[in-house]
Amino acid sequence: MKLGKKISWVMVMIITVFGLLTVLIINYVIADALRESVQDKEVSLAKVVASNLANPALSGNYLTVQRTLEGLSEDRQLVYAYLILPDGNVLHTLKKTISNELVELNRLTPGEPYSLESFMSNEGRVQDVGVFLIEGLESELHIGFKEDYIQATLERVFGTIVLITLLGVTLGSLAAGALGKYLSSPIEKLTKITRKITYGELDHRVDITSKDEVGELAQSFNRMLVVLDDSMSKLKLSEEEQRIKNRELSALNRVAETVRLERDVNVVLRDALIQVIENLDLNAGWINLRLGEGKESRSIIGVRIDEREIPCQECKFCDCDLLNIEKGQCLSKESLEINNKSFQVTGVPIYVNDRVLGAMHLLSDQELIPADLATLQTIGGQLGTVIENVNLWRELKVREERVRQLLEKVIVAQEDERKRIARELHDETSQSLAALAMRLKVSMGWIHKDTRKAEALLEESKDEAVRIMRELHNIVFHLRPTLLDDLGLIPALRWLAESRDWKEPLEVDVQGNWSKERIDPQVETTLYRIGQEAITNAAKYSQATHLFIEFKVEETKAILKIQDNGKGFIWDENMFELEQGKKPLGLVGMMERASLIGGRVEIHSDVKHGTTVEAVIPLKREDNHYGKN
Amino acid sequence: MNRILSIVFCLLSMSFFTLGCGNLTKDNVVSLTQEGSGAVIAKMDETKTVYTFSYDRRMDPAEDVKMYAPFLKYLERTTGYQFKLRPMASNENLIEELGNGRVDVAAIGTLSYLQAHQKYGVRVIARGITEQDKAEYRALIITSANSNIKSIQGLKGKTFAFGSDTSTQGHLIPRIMLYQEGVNLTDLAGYTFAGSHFDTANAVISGRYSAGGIQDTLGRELANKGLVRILAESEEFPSSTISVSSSLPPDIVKNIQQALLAFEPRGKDKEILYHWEQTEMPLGFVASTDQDFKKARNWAVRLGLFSGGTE
Repeated sequence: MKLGKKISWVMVMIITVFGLLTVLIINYVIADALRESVQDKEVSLAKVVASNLANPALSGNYLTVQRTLEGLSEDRQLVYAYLILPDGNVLHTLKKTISNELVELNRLTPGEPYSLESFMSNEGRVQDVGVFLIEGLESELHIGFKEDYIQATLERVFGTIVLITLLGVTLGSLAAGALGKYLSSPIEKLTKITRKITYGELDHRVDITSKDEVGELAQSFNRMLVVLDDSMSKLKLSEEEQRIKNRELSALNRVAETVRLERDVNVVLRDALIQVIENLDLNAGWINLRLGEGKESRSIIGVRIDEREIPCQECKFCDCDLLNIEKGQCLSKESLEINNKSFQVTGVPIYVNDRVLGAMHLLSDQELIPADLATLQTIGGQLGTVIENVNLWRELKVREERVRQLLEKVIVAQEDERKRIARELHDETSQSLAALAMRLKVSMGWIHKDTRKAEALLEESKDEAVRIMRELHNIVFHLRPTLLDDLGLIPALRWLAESRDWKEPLEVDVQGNWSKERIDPQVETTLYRIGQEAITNAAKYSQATHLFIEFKVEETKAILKIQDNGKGFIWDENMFELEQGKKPLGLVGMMERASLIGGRVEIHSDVKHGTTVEAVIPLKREDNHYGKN
Repeated sequence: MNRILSIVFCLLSMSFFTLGCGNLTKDNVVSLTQEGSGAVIAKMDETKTVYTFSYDRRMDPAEDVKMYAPFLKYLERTTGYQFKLRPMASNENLIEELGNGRVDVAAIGTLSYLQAHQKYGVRVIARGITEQDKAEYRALIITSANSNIKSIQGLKGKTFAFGSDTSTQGHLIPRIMLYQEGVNLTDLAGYTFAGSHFDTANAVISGRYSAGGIQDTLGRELANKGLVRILAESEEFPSSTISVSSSLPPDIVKNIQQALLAFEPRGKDKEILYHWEQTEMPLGFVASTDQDFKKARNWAVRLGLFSGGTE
């Protein structure tokens, strides 16, 4: 049952019940009040009559008394009146002899102001009212009043009340129905709106403008709807943002998954572009990579687009810096028509740090939303990093190869050195010592035969021993010149350049800021080995005749520059051969030695114009005391 | 819904149960009349000893009853006896009633006492104290306020209203005053016994009678109000008495007398009384004997109102 009907029924029942109760209670109260009022009047009347009768009765004027009593009988409500005189005689208004039963029915007791007795007589219900003629005198006046008229009055009152109550119940029922409808109507409205809200229709509002509690409820409900609508909008927005974020993350993740550092960068970029297009629901795209540091670019990758359709463009984002990129100012939005269909082309830079490596262009049916633009921008950075990492990976591989070759060279060099030492010891020192021993043996044979010849042989043996000693000294010195430890880098290099038995003697010029203080021994040894390699190359391979050595120490670095006037060589060709492992690794060894302690070696060479090797090794500022004393 | 219906049903049931049957009683039918023509006498309570008190009519009959009824309450409370007030009907004689014992105690004037005492041995036990704080009182002869009668002698040829023929202040003393001034009843144009002092006052004020003899207290009150004019004032005579029947036992008489002497109408007993100041004993009672009535008895004899004789 609906609320409105419930309210109506409850109201009707309450009205009915209380209407009936009201009828009964009012009937009871009115009857009681009416009886009390009538009795009061009857008692008052009896007292007045008694007062009027007192004097004639006490004066013995009984006829007057009788006439007065009979005068009362004119009242239609009066049934009888009788007076009991002090001597017990009774004067009355009845047509016949008054009955003893009536006289004794309602006798008064002294001190009692009046006495009431309702009884059923042969003339109907009677209310007997008895009063003393005068208080203190044994004389009683009794008047009998009809009670039927009270009952009749009560019945009339009862009927009227019932009629009014029925009318009230009827009107009340109608009002209850109206009230039920009035109360339930806004609730029904609220219910309808609630149902709509259940289906997510939050744009509805309750149209109740009353100032009562229901109106307040409706206003609160509307406010709640506004808040709910707002919350739902935010939630949807949040969901959309989340979806976009997810898409972005998915795109980024997919792009990240395509990264295989060992693969070719073009392959990696192509796979990444495919993932971008698929995850962002785009149509096609291409990537331009920058050529060198200029604005020239080349289209290297196209996905879902014919390369012929890709417009030739310069590096449009080459002037962008990182700040502009991060602010989203480096974007291009153009339109492109392919096969009579227009596409929106969105370009974003591919960058790493603040270097622009190229651009990624993507075709879409309509302009991309800011979130996608931001995603593409992030992907641009990601691709830049990918390119950078692939290049670094490749460089790392090259370097690893160099290190491997260097190690081989070191091992070979060590073996060569050992072979040289062994050969020198075997071919020269050992032969010399054998000859010395033979010479000494011969000397011993001649010492008793020919002293002079023996002395001459011993003199030759001594010279031979000195020569052998020099040879041994040379072997040891070439292992590590003591001059480096004793006098420092420049004297050691000068000695190396000048004292070595080159095919052609070298003229050596040395320049630099001299100091008693020494630099870090590790740096010094590294520079010595680089210098040794450069001098050896100059002397052995470049046919140089003049060597210029410059050494200077600055606050944070040491610089060694060795320049020869030899025949020079072609640098790139040399490097190509180096990568193929066809050439000795002397030059690479210099670079690797420098790089091991954070330095670098730059080699400049032109054919017929000699070669310049410049090594720069960083120094710790706090450990560098060179030139300070 | 069912629960609501149940509640409604219970309420209705309860209301009808508690209110619906309140007036249903079954009575015996009383017959108002009975056959036969004999007089019906109401039953009087005769199981207890009740002493009857009566009085000389002084005022309006109802007023007399109203005055004496509270006084009897006092006597009942003080003595412990039951008293019944019995006004004398016009066909009854208080002296006779005192004499034959149907009245035990009575407030009667001097003349009534003298007659009752002489005839039936009725005894006086107390006299009333008047407003003048005396156990004597006076009578007044009054005329209407605009009367041109200047003296008692001026009453000759005029009409005169006495009170009761047994009244002292209403009859005996005015007769003495007329006699002393030489006015006989035969000198009057006419006279009447109006009944009470009220009746006398009414007769004079209304002009039906030229003058009247009246209780001094009432006469002065009326004169102060300008309703009458006092023509003459008598000398003092013993005030009204409380006399008892000779058949009343002495111990009861004594107790009643003590109660009378203890009566304080202006004091502790004031509240229960009704216009006691209109009586001839407004300040209470003093004990009295027959000796106090010698002068009055002589005058009564002289005026022929009383055959004389003493106890």
